[in-house]
Amino acid sequence: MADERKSSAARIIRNGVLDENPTFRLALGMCPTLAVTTAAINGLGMGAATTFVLAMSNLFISLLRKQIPENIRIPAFVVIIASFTTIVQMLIKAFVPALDAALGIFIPLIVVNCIVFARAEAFAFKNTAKDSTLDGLGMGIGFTCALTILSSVREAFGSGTWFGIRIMPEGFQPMAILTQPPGGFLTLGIVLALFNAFEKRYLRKPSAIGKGAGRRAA
Amino acid sequence: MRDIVNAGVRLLAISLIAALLLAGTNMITRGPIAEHERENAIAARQAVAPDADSFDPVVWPGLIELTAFPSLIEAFEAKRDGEVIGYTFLFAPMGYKAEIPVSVGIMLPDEPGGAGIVSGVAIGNISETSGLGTRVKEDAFLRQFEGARADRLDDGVNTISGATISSGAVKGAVRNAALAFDALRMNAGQEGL
Repeated sequence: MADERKSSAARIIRNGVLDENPTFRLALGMCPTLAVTTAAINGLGMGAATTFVLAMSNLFISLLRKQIPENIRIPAFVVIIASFTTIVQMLIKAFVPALDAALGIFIPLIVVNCIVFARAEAFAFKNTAKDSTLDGLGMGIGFTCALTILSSVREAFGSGTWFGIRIMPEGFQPMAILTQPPGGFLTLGIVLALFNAFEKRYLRKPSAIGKGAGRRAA
Repeated sequence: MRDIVNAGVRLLAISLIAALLLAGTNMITRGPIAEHERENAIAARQAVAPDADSFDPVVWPGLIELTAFPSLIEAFEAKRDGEVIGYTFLFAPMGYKAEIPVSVGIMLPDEPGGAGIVSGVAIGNISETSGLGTRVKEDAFLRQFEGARADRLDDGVNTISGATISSGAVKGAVRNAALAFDALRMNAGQEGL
């Protein structure tokens, strides 16, 4: 019994990180993805903030799912998601001012991040509080991993640094375009292709190959 | 009808809980946020008046109340060894999306009667269009003002293409700072300082 529960928790987390990774598999939340991934610390910070909002709003929506009538679920989701976004914004402003300086104008965008909304509608409204929180955490971790990978690539090749530390040799000429908006699209495309190749090779079961199983219209 | 009332009451309850949560968070974070803002304001004054070692608020209500400077937020005397060497101003002119906090330092000239010299311009937190309006924060733009004579500001200050409104707002703030600087000097002269 305990084993079964553990494996289901692990499956929900794994689902968010790999099988239904919000960025690489569902292609949701592209706006913050492209906007903030100019430096690794921004990607990590945005991912952490979104994870908090995802887990908390999933938890509350799941707890309240029997109290929320079907016809007002959208405004109820908006109130809950917007409240947690505002809370995380105030907390960052108060306790991590450096992150606020870098991300301040993007944090309110979490409200309209379609991942948060999609998980509220598709998962939290139908599942238990524990599973919903895990789903929020898994999706958040998946989103954070994706943002950190993207922003690491962009920062390493675009500015020659990683988390602000110089990693490229002296003579390296930074490809400045990678830190610009076009570089965001280029990097996203390349990393997405690599993720698909990796998944095809190592993760997907043979029977699923070619059927497009696990793929979702986003 | 009953459904509508029921839904409305439930939504009201959810919103009420959300409001309470937000109020609680605000109580915790208000102090630290105000503290950071104060520190940032001090850092901004120091950045635009690097030669000064202390700052005192300008005690001349007439300046802030002057309708000529509607976007002036605060003015400080920049002092070194207790002597006034110039003034710093914080303006918040309207940019493309929201107000742009612009700190301007103008130092007194070495010889009396000369024009003031702009010692620095700094931009606070802005929400202008990323990549266009935000370029007013770049050194290449702000450096243009450094060392400029306060009475000849338009010479050689280039607007950023693609960010006409944002950079125009900053230029306007610096021009207003020069006017406010003149007003302060005249006022100081009248008081025999």
